[in-house]
Amino acid sequence: MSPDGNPFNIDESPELSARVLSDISVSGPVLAFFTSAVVWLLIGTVFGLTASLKFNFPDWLASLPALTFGRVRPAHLNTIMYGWISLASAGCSIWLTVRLCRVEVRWRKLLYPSVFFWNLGVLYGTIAILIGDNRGLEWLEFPRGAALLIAVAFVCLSLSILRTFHARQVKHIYVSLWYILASVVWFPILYVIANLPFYSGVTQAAVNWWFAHNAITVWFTPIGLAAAYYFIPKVIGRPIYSYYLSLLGFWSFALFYNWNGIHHLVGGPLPTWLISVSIVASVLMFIPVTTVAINHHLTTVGHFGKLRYSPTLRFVVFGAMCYTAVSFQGSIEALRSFNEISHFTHYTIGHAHLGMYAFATMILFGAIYYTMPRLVKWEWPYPILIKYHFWLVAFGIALYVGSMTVGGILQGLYMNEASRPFIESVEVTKPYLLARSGAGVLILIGHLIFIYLFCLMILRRGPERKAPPWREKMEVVAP
Amino acid sequence: MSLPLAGLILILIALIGGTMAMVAFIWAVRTKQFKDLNAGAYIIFDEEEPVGKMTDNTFGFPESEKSNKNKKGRGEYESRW
Repeated sequence: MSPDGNPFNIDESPELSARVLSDISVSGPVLAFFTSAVVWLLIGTVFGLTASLKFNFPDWLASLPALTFGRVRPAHLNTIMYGWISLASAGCSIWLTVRLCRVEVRWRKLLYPSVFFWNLGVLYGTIAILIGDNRGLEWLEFPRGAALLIAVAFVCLSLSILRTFHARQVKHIYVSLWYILASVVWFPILYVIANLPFYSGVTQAAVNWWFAHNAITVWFTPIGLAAAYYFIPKVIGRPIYSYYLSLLGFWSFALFYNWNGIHHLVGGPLPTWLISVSIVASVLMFIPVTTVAINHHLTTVGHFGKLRYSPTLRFVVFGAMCYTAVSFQGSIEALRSFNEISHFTHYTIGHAHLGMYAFATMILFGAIYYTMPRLVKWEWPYPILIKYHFWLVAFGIALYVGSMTVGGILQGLYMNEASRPFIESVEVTKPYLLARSGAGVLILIGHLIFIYLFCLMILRRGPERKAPPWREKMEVVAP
Repeated sequence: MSLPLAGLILILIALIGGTMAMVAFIWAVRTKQFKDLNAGAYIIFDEEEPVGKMTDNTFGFPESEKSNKNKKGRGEYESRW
C-alpha cells in the first residue's frame, strides 16, 4: 500500500496490516457482544448463587414467587447459556474468523442487530421464566418468541461469519475455523428444529435432550476448542504439536458427538437401541477428546513456565485441561452401570459445571483477556487483580465440582440402597451443598473483580501501562 | 400437523444436514486442505508475531526475554511492566 492511499498510515508488511486491520474492523461488534455477555454473567451468577443458597436455607425468599427455586434455577441456566457463554462465544468466533481469514469483517451491519436481538431474546425469555411462563423443558425453557429472537440473532452472526469466510485471503482453513464454521452452520438449524411445535410425550423428551446435548456439541464446545487451538499456540509462539491430529479430532468430533444426547435418558422409556447407540457414540468420543488432549498438552509441554506471564494462557490451559476431564467423565457417566448411581444426583450438576464453567467459561475469560487490549487499545490495569480473579474462580470451581462429585455419589449410593429411608439421601448431601454455596461466593467475588477490570478497560481508565512493542503499531491507528 | 409428515420433514432436514457435511468434506479434500498440513499450523503467525514470540505478557516477562534487555528500547519497557 502506498503511504498516501493508506488511511491508517501503516506501511509495514501486508500481513501485519491485515491482522491489525481485521482487529479494528470488528472491534465495535465484538465489544458489544462482550459487554452484554459480561452483564449476563453477573446476572446469571447471582441467580446461580441464589439457587444454591436455597438448598442451605430453604425458606429464604420463598415468599416471592419469582424467586422460588423452580424459577431461579432455570433463570440461572438460561442467562448463563444464552446470555454469557453464547454472547461471549459469538464475539470470540467473529474475532477469530477475521483473524484467521486475514480480512476485514464482511456484512458488519448485521452484527449490531445480532447483539440487539440476542439480548432482547434473552431478556424476554428470562422475564418469562421469572413470571412463570416456562416451557418446562430443560435448556428450552424460553418461550418460542424469545427463541425466535435468538435464532434471528444467530442467523445474522452466521451470515456475517460465512460472508467473511467467503472473502478470505488465506487459502488454508485453520482448524479453529473448521470448528467455527461447523457451529455457525449447524446451531441455527438445531435450535429451530428443537423449537418446532411438532413433538409430544416421549418424542419431546428425546428431542429435548438431543437438542440440549447438541447445543454443547455444535456451539459451546467448538467455540471453546477453536479458541484453545488458536490461543495456546499463539500466546506461546509455537505451532500446534500435531496439526494432523487436530484435523482428525475435528472430523471425528463432527461424526460422533451429535449422537450423544440420548444418554441423558438412560433408563427412560425409549427404544433401547436408541439409548445404546448414544452410549456407544459417547464412548467413541474418547477418540476426538484424546486427540485434543494430546495436542494441547504437547503444544504446552516445556512452556508451562509461561503460565506465569500470561493470563490468557492460564485461563485457556486450565479450560483445555478441564475439557479433557469433563469429556472423559461424560463418556463414563453415559455407561449404564455408572449411570445407575449418578443419575438424578448432584453428580450431574458437578459434571455440567465442569463443562460449562471450568472448560467453556474459563476459555472465554482467556479469550477476553487476549482480545480486549487489541480492541480498546488499552492495557489491562492492575495485573494483580487478574491473578485474584484466576485463583478465586479456579479454586471456586474446583471446590464446586469436588463437593458435587463426592456428594452426588453418596446421594446415588444412598438412593440405590432400598433399606434406607429416602430422607437419608438428602441429609447426606447437606455439607456438600454448603461447600457448593461457599464455592459460589468465591466465584461471584472473582466475577466482580473481572467485571471491575472489564469496566476499566471499556472506559480506558486505571493506571496507564505501556503496550508491548509489537502492539505499538496499533497505537498508530487508534481512533 | 400430523406426526408422520413432521417426521418426514425432520428426516429430510437431517439428510440435507448430513449431505452438507459430506459436501464440505469432499470440497476440503478437493481443494487440498489436507495437503501439507504442517504449513497449515503456521498460518496463525506472521512477520510481526513470528514463531518463538510470546504475544501476551500481561503479568511481566519470561526470563529468556529479560536476557535481551540490553537491546535498544527494551529498558524502559521492562521497568513499566
